[in-house]
Order: sequence, then structure tokens, then C-alpha cells
Amino acid sequence: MAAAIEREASARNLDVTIIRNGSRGMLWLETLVEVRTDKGRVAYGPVKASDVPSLFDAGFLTGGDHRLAHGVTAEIPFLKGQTRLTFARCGVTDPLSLEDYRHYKGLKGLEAAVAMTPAEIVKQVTDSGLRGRGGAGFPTGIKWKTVADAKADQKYIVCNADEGDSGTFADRMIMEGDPFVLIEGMAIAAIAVGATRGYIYTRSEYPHAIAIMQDAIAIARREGILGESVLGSSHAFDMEVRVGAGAYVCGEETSLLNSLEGKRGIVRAKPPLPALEGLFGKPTVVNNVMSLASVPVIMDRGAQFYRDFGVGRSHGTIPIQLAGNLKHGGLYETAFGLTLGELVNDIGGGTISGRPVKAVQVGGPLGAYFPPALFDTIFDYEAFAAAGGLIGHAGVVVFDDTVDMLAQARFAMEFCAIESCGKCTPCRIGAVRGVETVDRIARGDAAAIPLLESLCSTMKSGSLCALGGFTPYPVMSALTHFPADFDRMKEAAE
Amino acid sequence: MKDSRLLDRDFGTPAARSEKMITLTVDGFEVSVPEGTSVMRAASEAGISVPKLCATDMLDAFGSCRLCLVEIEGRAGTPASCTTPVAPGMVVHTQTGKLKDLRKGVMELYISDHPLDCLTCAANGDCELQDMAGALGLRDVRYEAVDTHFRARNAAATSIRSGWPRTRATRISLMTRRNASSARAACAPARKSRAPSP
Ligand code: SF4
Ligand code: FES
Repeated sequence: MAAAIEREASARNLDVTIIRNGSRGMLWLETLVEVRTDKGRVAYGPVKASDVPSLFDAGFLTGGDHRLAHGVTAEIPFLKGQTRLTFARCGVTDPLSLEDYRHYKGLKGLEAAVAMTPAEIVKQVTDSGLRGRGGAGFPTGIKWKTVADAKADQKYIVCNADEGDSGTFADRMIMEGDPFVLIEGMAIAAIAVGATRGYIYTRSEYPHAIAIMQDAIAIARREGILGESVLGSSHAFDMEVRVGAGAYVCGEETSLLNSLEGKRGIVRAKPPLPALEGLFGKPTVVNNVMSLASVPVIMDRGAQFYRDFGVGRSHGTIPIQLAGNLKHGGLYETAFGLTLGELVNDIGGGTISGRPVKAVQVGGPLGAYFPPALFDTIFDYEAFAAAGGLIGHAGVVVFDDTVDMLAQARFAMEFCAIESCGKCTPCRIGAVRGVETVDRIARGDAAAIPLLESLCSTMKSGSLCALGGFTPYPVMSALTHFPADFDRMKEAAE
Repeated sequence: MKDSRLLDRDFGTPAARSEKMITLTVDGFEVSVPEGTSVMRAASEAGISVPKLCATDMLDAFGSCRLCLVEIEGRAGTPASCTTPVAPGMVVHTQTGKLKDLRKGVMELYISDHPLDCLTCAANGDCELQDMAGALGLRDVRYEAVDTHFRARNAAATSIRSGWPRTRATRISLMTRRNASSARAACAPARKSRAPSP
């Protein structure tokens, strides 16, 4: 696309500067081309290379009208309705321009942090109400305090960038679109707990994210953001990117640590907590990309500023990833508190197929399926838990009425069987039995339904980690909310 | 054979070395053990044996079989007693209806992945798997197992979809642990998985 615009511009003898920025998160408009005009940035999308000549004809360099024109980008309802704190710069800046980063308030958080004591930083993060954005929702500040209080000769910051949930792409967007914010967040965490080394653990499926992160780290090192003296302070911190082979279970923190140590990615029993005995047996902060990338704005604007967003015990903003059968899929950062229905119908614009929504899976492959009857569920940790689900990494995947929920239940079990680390019995053997039991139901064996329920309760309470423990969520929610799909006897008779 | 087991009683996890003693309650009995002791061993010291397959006092706890799950007042879920260290004032329950169902459910999964050749197995009668199945009251297996580790092994390596190499790997590691745990004999799962499958 960039090449096509360049070619067309030089053919027409026009002088253009092309900057490749990250994604704005309006994925149905990608490839999105923005032009800086005196009205502000104007958007055109989705643009194909073949559209380029007609864009020039329409005078898009001065904001001319075109069938792909959407006016001023910031005024597009999907963007306008958002509260972008973590993703403030994503899609706006040149990802690898530190100048851009500073211009858009980057490094303010780290500057504030180096002027504070570690205890003050921990307190500020605790007071902000920030909770782990990876799935469990554990308060980030409390985790940091545990590591800060631990005595050790070496401590680590590990960023969990092993984004493996279906329909999620927030981590990738940050790493590709605003890598410095993650570096800044990790450096703040390091100062807060007294760590000197950091690792970003991501997956080999993310080659662009890896390359951009590595470049950004090199720039940060050169500019004195990382290294012996972070921003000229007495704190030393450096970091590197480590690439995993993409096993889903390596997103589980203890399995991730094993993988990072070069071992097989198998889950460890807790205790010991990673905060006390983590990477190489040393106190380690393991935080998700989203949690760490939210820290700079908290340090810059203050705990109260962040805390004031959200509802109940879910404070701040959450980058929701709308995916699946949706007209307007993309990243929507907003304060906690919208309902699921608003997200799917109003913001997502309903299904792209035009058929009615049948089910929405929230929280990745281990998240529950919600029927439209539960669309009034509020998007926050507690409300979702109460409705028998979880937010996880805030991925929302929409299905229309052609989906077969029995097949989805089977898929959940199959996924668990394939991705299981193999350590514990309920998950290792249970998931295989689960697939077989769903197959029995599909053959019309109604007696297998209570067996599936009993298996789910064994897996849920018996498994060591969330992979085996949460697989029952999609299975049981499919069974509870869509019993008709499991009634194969009736179907066969009809 | 059973008697010899009583002689070298297995406490489940190694003894902790701390000087500091911790007092807790297990099934209503008060017991004091050194700090760092597992809940499983504390129960064992109190004369209560918690079901187990993957733990033995010659090895550090691994926490894989999930038969030793217990309930601890004030804590969510059902932690494994072999990997959970004791804490002062802890109130542990090792025998509840919930745990009974859970352990039986886990045992049923084990047996669903096991060839039904106990009567011709050389370890018949001296087998922890058999003992546990009996102790947990498992009579029937409700599953219709298609993919099992022993069938998978005999089938062409390409034909199986459900991740059997992991199943086998864990089984082998379990076997190794079992063997290490006892000089008496290789245990039943180890023997049996070597037997030809039906
Ligand atoms: S639940 Fe599954 S993935 Fe988690 S420890 Fe057990 S076998 Fe491994
Ligand atoms: S004895 Fe196997 S998990 Fe504790």
C-alpha cells in the first residue's frame, strides 16, 4: 500500500511523506490510510492498492471526498466513543519514533517514577485499582508489593505477551503500534520492585511484534531509557524479547517461566508463588502486556485519575477486542461497565452475515458462551464471574445462528486435549474423554449428558491450572444455554 | 505383601527440616509439624492417609495425579495436599462428600486409560492403582474410551488426534516416579502398559 501511494505520488510529481503507524483498531477499515490536513487527520479505508489512483483523483491529500472517505478519524463513532488511556498513542504515532512518543506524553510516567521511592510507586499502582489484564484479575499493586518485599540478589520483570486467546490482538497491537509504552511500563515495575532484568515472552506467530519490540528496545537502550542508569537515575534495568513456540499453556505464568528457563512448558504447583520464587527461583513480577502498558498513564496522571474509570471493583479501562461474526470488529478501549449487548450490537454493529446473534464467547477459548438473553451482563470482572463466565483477556467472539453449540463444546474439549501440558489427570485424560463423550451425545446417546456434566465438575475442581479448570466454562455454558443443540435424538427423529 | 507396605510407611512428601513448629488441625485432630511440611505429610503424621498416586516421601511433591485434593477452611477450591505447605491454625478436611466425588472422578479417568488385564497382571494384588481404585470405591467406568495411551502406542503414530505423546510422556514420568518410590517391584501401571493391548 505504502509503495503504491509512493509510486502514484511520484508519477504525479507530488511530494508526500509516508509514515507507517500502528493500527487504530478499526479492523474493518484496514488498510486505513490517514492524511494530515488542516481539518485534522482524515481517514480512508479499507483501501486496496487498486484504489490508490482514484484516491489521488479525488484529491485525498487535501481531504477530498471519495467513496472510502470517513472524514476526520477522531470523529469516527467507533473511535470517538472510546476512552483510550492504554492505547492513547496506538495508531497515531510512528511506533519506533521516540520523538513521537515523547510528543504524545510518553515517558512522563517513568520520569515521575524515578523521582519517587519504590514504595510510593507500588502504592500508586495499588491505589489505582489496576488488576491483572491477563485473565485472573489479581491486583497488580499487591503482586508488586510481594516482590518488592522479598529479599533476593536478583529479581525479574516478566511480561506475558503470549497472547493465545481466540479473537485477541490487543497485546500485538501495543507491541506493533506503541512498543515504548510497554518498555516504559516494565521499567517502572522494575524500579518499584528492585528488578534489574526483564523479559518479554511472546510467541513465534508474532514476527512483526518481535521485530518492532527488538528495535524499540535497542533505541531505548541507546537513549538511556534502559541500561545502567534508567533516565539518569541510580536504577539499572535492561530487557530482551524471548520467543516461545506458541503452546497455549505457556500463557499460564508458571508454565511460561519454565519455558523461559529453557525447560518444557509444564505448569508448576503454587506455592511457591512466582512473586517469591519465580524465574530461576528468584522473585519475579509476571504481568500481562495490558497491565504493564497501563502503568505509565497511572504514574503520569495519578492513581485517582485511573481509578475513577470503571464500575464496582473493576477500575480503569479495558481494551475489549471485538471479533468473530461482527460488522465492526476491532479494539475498543473503554471504562468497565458497558453491557455485553451494547458491545455486540451498538459498537460491533451486529453480525456481518446479517443473521441473528446466537452466542458470544467472552474470554478466549476457555471463556463461557453467552446467549442474547444475557446481553445485559455488565462488562466487569465480578458481573461476569457471577454470570458463570470470565473476562479473561477481554476477547469477544460473536457467532450467528448457524453455529452448532455441540460442535463448539467438542472444540473446547479438543482444544484442551491438544494444548494440555499433560501434567495432571483431570485435564490430560479428561479432555480426551470429553471429546469422546460429546461424540456420544452427537450420536444421540442422552445418557452421556450427565456424564459430561460430571466430567466437567471433575475437571473444574480437580485440575491444577486454568486450562483444565476452565475448559468446563465453554462446555457447560453451551450445554446450559443451548440445550437444543445437544438433543440429537429429537433431531434425528425429526 | 500388604504388611511390608506398613513397615516402610510412606508419608507422601519428604520431611521438612525447620526447627519452627506449626500447629494445624486435620479432620479435627491437632497436629504439630516443622514449618515447610506439606499438608499431606502433616495428615500422615496424624495417622490420616490421604489418597495419592504421584507423591512419595523420597521425592519432592509434583502435584500431578490430583487424588490428594483436600479442603482448607478459608481457601478457595480444593488444593493438592502434597504441594500445599502447612500454615499456623490451618483447618484441613481430607474426607468430605465433595472430595470423595472428586477423587472418584479422577480415579475413573485413570482407569479409563488403563487396560483391563488386572487378573493376568503380575502385579495383581500389589498395585497402588488397584488399591486406590478400591479405596475410592470405584466400581464402574462410565466412559467409552476410544483414545487411550496403550492403544495409541500400538496404532500408527500418525493416526491419533488427541495428543497421546503427552499422555504417554506423563505416564512414563509417573512410572519412573513409582519405580523410584519403591524398591519392592515396578508398579502396576508400569507393568501393565508393557502388556500387549487388546
Ligand atoms: S490443567 Fe492441563 S495444562 Fe494445567 S497443569 Fe493440568 S494438565 Fe497441565
Ligand atoms: S499425590 Fe498426586 S497430586 Fe498430590
